[in-house]
Amino acid sequence: MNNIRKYKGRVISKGMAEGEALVSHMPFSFMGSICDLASGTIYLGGHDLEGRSLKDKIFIYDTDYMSTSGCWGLLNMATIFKSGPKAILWREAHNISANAAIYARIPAMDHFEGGAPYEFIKTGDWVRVDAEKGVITVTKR
Amino acid sequence: MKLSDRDKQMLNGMEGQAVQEAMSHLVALGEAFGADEMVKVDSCHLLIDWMLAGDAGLQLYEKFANMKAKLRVHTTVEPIAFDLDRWDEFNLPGEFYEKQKSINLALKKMGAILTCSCQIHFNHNQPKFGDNLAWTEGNATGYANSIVGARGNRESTISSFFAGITGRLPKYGILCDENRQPKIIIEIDRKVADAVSTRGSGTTSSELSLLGMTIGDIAFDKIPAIVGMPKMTNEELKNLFSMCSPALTATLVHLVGITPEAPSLDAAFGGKIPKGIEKKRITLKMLQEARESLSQASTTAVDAILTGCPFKHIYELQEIADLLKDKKVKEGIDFLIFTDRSIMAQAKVNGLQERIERSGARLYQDACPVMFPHRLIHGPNKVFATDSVKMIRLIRGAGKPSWYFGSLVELIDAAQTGKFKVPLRKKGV
Repeated sequence: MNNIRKYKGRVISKGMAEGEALVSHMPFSFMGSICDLASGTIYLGGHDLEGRSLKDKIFIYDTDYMSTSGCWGLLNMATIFKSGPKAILWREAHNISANAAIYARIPAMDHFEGGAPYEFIKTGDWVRVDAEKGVITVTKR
Repeated sequence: MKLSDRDKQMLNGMEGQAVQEAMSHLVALGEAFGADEMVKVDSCHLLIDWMLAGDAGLQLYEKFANMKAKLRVHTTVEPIAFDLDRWDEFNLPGEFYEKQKSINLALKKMGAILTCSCQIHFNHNQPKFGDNLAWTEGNATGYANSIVGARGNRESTISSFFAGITGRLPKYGILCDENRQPKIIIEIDRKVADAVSTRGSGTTSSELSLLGMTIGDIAFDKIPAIVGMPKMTNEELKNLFSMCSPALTATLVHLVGITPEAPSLDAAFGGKIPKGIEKKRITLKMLQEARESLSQASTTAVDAILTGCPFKHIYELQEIADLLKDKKVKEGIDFLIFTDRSIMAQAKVNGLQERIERSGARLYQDACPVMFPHRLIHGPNKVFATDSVKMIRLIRGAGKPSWYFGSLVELIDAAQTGKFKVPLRKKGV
């Protein structure tokens, strides 16, 4: 199957997940200034995923910026609102979200051998994240 | 990761369940980021307001307080959504006060000092050269890293708390020597340097804000070495780091000739400037573009004017009182100024609170507008004005007020007239 490819990366938060990819090329903050924490909908005008929801997605973005409270944001999404992503893949993990991912057991990885994950994964692709072995399997859609 | 005997004891539960859970998380964090060892943490600064911490943060703090966790190092805390003494002027849903009281109680039990301030580096949590900090506040770590030579990542709300419980952090990010070298040189044009040096005129606040914003946007995830920065006061430096910090992944900005690790440009790079290093230059035109991008409101009428992000120091309150003189804030317009409790005490004894508030403006302590539930209490039709890029960047998204950006002089004019005079031009923050 030539539409299926595997990529190795660095494990930031252990676990397994699979689902549909939602891909941003931009840095992100779970603070609530970019997305609505209760629903997971990205509501910031001008964001490349404006109007989309990251709930239950394999969420791919560049790295964290804006506010260290993004850590609380992701933790609330994961544990209180159940609106968080199934897994997160970054170009470069930042401790802001990595800490929430580790604490809430959201599988997460970065440093992929194919480069930034948004370079080889598109929104809608099916992604299986094995953040035990450090491998993701991408099925193009 | 190499753990000390004490680290292993904590990990094995010999210092109780709370310490074990915190250490276990920090070990997982250190392994994820490839840290070689743990380092001693010298102080903590936690993010505690319920609007941002939510029930998840409340539950985490209460869980550890119930496990009898103690914060082992000096620990201060960030602002909250209301003034603890004038809470009834904040028009918040009752839940806010109740949840915040619960968080405050848990933190007091664990030994945190309820400073409710983002300028703790100026009073209750002064860093020293070489200190390892577990701080959540970007403007404060920016100052500590860049002016004092202390070491602090933009530490997450969870890791900063667990660092307080254990007194340890993985040696990662810019706690490591090798990650503190610049990756980009940014030159400040002479005209820009002149524009941010007009002290006392009330216009500095916006120029400096724009310079900070531009440095942050250019540098993003590369630590910058800044050439051509004029000498500044502590308050001006505080503002500069506040404006660049939201855009930076690490808040270390080498101000050549000011930063202890950068007495010269060569020294910032450890002796030799790498060939082919990226170079950028900040011009007045870039500051003007930044200014235009910040004012997004569709009407010139403003509902509220907010200043004090970061919190005002005593000299900045003096400047506001002087600029206000005998001016009056127009009826129906909220002119809100924010500071911390220590500065408020000084403002009272020096007559500044009285001079500011007789204009109709209100000076609050503890509270920060970034922690207000804007969608709930203000909605999308309100128009606010501020001199803080950080405030505009952190209070945005659907359902929230729109903004004007300007200098203190422009803000005070808007407070008197109810209208903001800067013309609207381009789009996009």
